[in-house]
Amino acid sequence: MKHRLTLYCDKSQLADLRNFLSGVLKDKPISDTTKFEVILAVEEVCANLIIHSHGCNSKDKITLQVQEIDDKLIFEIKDSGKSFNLLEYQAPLLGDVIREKRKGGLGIMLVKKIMDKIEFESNGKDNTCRLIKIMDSK
Amino acid sequence: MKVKYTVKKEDDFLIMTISGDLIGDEVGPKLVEVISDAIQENFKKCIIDLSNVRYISSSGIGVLITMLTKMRNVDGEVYLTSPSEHVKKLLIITKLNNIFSVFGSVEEAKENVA
Repeated sequence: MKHRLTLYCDKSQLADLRNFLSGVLKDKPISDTTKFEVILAVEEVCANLIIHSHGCNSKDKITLQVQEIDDKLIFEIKDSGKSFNLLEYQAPLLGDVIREKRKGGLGIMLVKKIMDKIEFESNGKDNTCRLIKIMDSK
Repeated sequence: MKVKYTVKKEDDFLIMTISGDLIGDEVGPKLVEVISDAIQENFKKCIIDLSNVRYISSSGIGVLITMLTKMRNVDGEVYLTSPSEHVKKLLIITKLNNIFSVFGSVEEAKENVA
């Protein structure tokens, strides 16, 4: 079964996203801690797109599709425009974050640690980020 | 779950109790302002009780880091107490467990820090 959600590029939509994901994950055979982590990871990617790729322009939208295939949960996030390939993103040094020499960056590190696989595709216009979580992984 | 917080001052401790979902964008600036005000009042020890925080986002973690940085800039310190399994795991993944002092309860933090 596929679940779909369209988000307008406005930060207020993130609350809807969390509610949507809570509903989708409710009956999945994963711990509450893993559910929270998965929500955090998907929210992080969507928040990055909304804020950095689309400048919170509520006329833009991104779509999320969640699908369960075998033991995998696949979160496919699509948008159009400036791409953000988180696979190429270098996480900041923690010491720099603490000293405020650099803002943010922890979120992407968390996404990489939480998810089992990340895929990114772009044709220069349409971008697809796929976050894959194996349901029995820690 | 909407975030709520209470602040109390006991001896030389500022004790902030946060409950609900800690999303940085929603309440972050207000929480940081509380710390800034406390610093103006010469508080240097801040205990943040996370026992009722259900969910924390990366921006929520960012808020905790900002509060810690503000306190450390005046030779103060922030102590976290009673994080949930979810929060604990995030602290470990980000290695922030090495940066923050984490205690099992507010009482334990007060006993160890005083």
